[in-house]
Formats: sequence, C-alpha cells, structure tokens
Amino acid sequence: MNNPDHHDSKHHTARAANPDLDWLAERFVLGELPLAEEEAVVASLSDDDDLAAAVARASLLVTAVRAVALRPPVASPEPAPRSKSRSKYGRWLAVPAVAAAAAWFIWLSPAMRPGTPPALPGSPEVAELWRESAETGWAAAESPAEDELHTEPDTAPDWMLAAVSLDAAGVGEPEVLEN
Amino acid sequence: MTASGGETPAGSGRLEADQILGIYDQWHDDLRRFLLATCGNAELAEELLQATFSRLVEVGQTARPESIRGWLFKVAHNELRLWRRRSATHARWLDSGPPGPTAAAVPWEEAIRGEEAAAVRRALATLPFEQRQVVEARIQRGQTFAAIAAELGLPLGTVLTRMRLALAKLRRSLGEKARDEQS
Repeated sequence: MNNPDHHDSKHHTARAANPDLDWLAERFVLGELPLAEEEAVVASLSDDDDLAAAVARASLLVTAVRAVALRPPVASPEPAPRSKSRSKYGRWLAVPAVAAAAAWFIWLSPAMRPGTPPALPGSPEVAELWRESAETGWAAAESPAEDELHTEPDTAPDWMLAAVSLDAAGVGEPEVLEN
Repeated sequence: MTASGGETPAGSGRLEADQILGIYDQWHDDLRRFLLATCGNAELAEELLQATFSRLVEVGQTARPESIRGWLFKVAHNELRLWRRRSATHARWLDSGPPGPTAAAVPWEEAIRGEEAAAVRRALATLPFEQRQVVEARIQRGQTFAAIAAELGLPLGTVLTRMRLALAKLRRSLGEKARDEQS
C-alpha cells in the first residue's frame, strides 16, 4: 500500500482512459464503470486525493439531483382572489366609516386631548420594564431570523460514541482485514 | 501513524477516541452522500456508514492521514460490495437497477439544504430537454443507461454524452459550494 511506484501505476490505470476525472468519478458513483475500471478507481482512492475529491463532488451532485426529486419546491403563496361580492356602494360607505373610527380613536387618546399631559412612565418604571424585558429575552424574540438560523452543533451519533467508548475499553478486538 | 496527524496511542496501535470523532466530524457528510449516491437507499447508507466507521475504529491506524477521506470511501465501497454479496436481494437489485426514491428516503431530503435544492432545481431547468431527460431517468428514476438508450431509441454513446454534458453543467452550478465545503 505504501509503495509509491505501485500508487503511480494504479493512478495511471485509473486515469489513463479517463482524462476527465469528474466524469470518471460520476460514473463510479453511479455504478456505471466496467468492473476493471471500477477496481482501478477503488484501488486508487486511498492514495489519490484528487480522485477522492472528485468522488466527493460526484456524490454531492448525485445526491442533490436525487434529493430535488423528493423535495417539493417551495411554492410562493398565491394572492387570494379578491371577493367580488362587495358592491361599489359598500366601498364608498367604508370611507366615512374609517374616518369616523379614526376620529374616535384620536379623541380617546389622552395624549391628544388638550390640557392632558402625556402619561409617560417614570424612570423607575422604565428601568423595571427594561429589566423584565431583558430577563424574558425579548431581543431574541425580535430577531426570529437569527433564531431560525441557529442549529445544534454537529455531534457524533450514539453508535459512533459507543464504538469509540468500546474501543477505548478494549472490548471486541476485531480481526484485521485488508481494505 | 495516525489518521488525524496526532500521536498513535501507545500499545494499542489504534486511533484515539478524539481522533476518531474528529475524523467523523470532518468526513461523515461526504461519506453519507457517497453511500447515498452509490447504494441509492437511505437506510442501507446509514448501516454502511456505521460499518465504515466501525472499520475506522478497528483499523484506521493503517490509513495515511493525508488521504483519510479516500481511505474511508474505499472502505465504504468495500462494505457496499460485501453487503451486495451477502444480500439475498442482490439478484433482484441487479435486475431492476439501482433502487430509486423510496418511502424510506427521508434522509435524502436531509442530504441537501434548501438553497442547494433551489440551485440544483434552477440548474436542471436550464438544461436542454434532451439532457434533462437523461439526468432525470438515470438519477431520479434509477434507470440504467442501457435502459434509457433502449427507451429513447438512441445509441448508448449518445445517452452517455448527454449525461456527461448535463452533469458538467450541473457541477459548475454546485462546484463552488462543494469546493468550499471540502476546503
């Protein structure tokens, strides 16, 4: 495995008939190489990092194209069709109704009434509000995009951790196979 | 020698747990994609991924650190071949070609991020119809090139050329992203 001449001959065999490394890797990943070429690629993989990188690219490409078939495209929401049941008289009646509601709201607002000082909270109240909002994490709630982008750190699965811990304990000494 | 460049544990000759976990963190995505792409079955890919990393635990010290990814691909490919040899369904698998998308394909969707899916979909849409037809038949429906050629009434070489051109175009769309992830 560590004989450089042997590596070179394997690289030569794997690549000689396949100057396009990506196409070679793609056919390898798709299982479309003749057996002899497939064997040559497998033999070269652990020594030829360019080939391994091409196989990784091919794997990404194939999985991406296959996954696209399974992942429905995100449909942009269609605007709801406007209701035609409202008559043009209703539209005209809505204008004074909105104006009346706005006037009523302004009259009710203490800050807008003449002679009424605006009811602003004092500094102790502001400090209390600030403390409460800091405790409840309002800042995070105001930026849901950041919250959505947060992902859990990539951790090894249980089986990987179990394998490592078993190995550390010296359990299950395997026979050594040639790979 | 150690696969991650550290010291080999004295006595045992095996990789240490943190080295193995480091290799796992660095390469498991590549390896999962490789297995998904080669075996076409998400559940099997997970089994083979586990078997591959078990081999890393057992004999990972025999790999050269600078080519650990290729070594993992090689082991994974060997595990796939072993599975094919052992499997009672091997003959059926050969008859029908690589399995296409199945109900157990949820991890496929996890294999690609939303923006990647959108990029691939856009790239697929720009392919000429003849090329897209071959890509969809081979990768998405799992037909062999020979079957596609027979179905379309084309020489095998023509189908292969269309596939090669299509993949080159798709690769350009994803290439920068993939290279970024690997570096």
